[in-house]
Amino acid sequence: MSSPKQAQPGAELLAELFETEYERIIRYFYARIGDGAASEELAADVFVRALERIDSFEWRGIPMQAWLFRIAHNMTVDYLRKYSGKKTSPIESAENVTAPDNPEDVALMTIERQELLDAMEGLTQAQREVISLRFFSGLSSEETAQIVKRSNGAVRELQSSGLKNLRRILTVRQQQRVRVQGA
Amino acid sequence: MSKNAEINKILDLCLDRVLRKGESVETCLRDYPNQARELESLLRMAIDMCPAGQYTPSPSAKATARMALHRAIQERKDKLSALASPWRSAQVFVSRMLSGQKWALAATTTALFVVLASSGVVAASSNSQPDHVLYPVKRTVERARLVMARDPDAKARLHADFADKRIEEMGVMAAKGDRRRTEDLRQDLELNLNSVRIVVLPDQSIVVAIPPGQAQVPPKGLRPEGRQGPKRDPKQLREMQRFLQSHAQKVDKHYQEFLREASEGGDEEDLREKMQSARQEYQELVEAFQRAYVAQTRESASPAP
Repeated sequence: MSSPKQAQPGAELLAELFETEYERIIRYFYARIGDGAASEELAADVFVRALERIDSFEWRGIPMQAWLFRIAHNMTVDYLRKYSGKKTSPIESAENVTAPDNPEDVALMTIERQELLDAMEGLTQAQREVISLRFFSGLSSEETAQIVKRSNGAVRELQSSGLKNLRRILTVRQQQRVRVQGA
Repeated sequence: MSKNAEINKILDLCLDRVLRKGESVETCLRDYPNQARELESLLRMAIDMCPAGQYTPSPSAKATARMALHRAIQERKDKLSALASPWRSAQVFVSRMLSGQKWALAATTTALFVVLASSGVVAASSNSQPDHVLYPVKRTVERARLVMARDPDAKARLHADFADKRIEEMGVMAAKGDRRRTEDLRQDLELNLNSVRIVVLPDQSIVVAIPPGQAQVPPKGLRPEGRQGPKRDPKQLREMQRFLQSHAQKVDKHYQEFLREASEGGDEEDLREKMQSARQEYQELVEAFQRAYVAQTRESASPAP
């Protein structure tokens, strides 16, 4: 995340950030809500909302990117609250998932992706947030710390415990599958 | 550093090397032979899960979003040009002064304050709500008061007062079903509360987006050095904690009032969540002051080396 850009007027900076952050913000939404089309709409909305409030903000200590992710976080909370019962079909939302050309590989990846999203439901909210930002949006742990408003150490702890929890959940599910197939 | 914190740090470094720099897992594990067993499965799982969570938007979706943003930027420019009224000019002038010299800033702010106050605009704006034409005056006056506040504690108290106002306004906007303004106010509230930390407990603060003039960079004497926080008088911390506690009680009162009136319908569920979130933020702030108070009291009680 850069600092020289901070001297530029907000709207122009936001337009520049759109080019670099749009995909990362979509991936963040996608990891949290599992709906590609909704993620695209929400990501577009993040920038428009940011623009509406750009006059009232100036940046001290953290870059504008972190603010965009904070807005995305708040929108995710609102979205999940509103559509908490909504389940997305993995096939329905698999269209734009980055995947190999081979249809079998695509199917496998779709299943893996759905398993991963299901497994993430077993994490605490803070772990899910950190894992999404680190592994799907590709942020560093320092950037993640600025967004979730925790210390670097706390983020590393959440990352570590989140990964261990995921490993445990995925292992248990794999064992269950093996048992069902064996029966 | 505890063993846990150490391995968390090593895992974080290895994740960056593997996922961001493209190094192999084996290379990382060679550098940390004692932790290799624990690290390996976590690193491999992280590598496996990254592609599964990737999503690439269609080029048309990105183009549409880009167009919407550029259109909004253009509309904003047009709107700003159209609003070149005397009031707008005054507002822009004050904003510019806010980033200038402190003496000039104080003088200009005072002059503007006096002019506006004598015209009755300030008084009329004090009870205005976010959808009212005079609301920008109210917020500008708040910024001016922050600029004129002399010490960190006074600024912190003002931030807490303004946080109270945001809570009241959230209630009014939610009753009108204005979700957007309600959310904006909740974010402003968060900024005010964070500013209290920045001003009084800079070592416990993580700075988020700060409206101009609302939050202050900690004064030089109060800036933390390394991991050490600034020394504060425990009595002052206790006093500030009590002050914030009384504000937290006010938030509770607003929340209860809201619950009584919420049955009339509207967007009460949404506001209930936002109010709860505000209460929690207040509570966390009060606890932060409690921790600082305990730490400073212990430090003061321990014999000098």
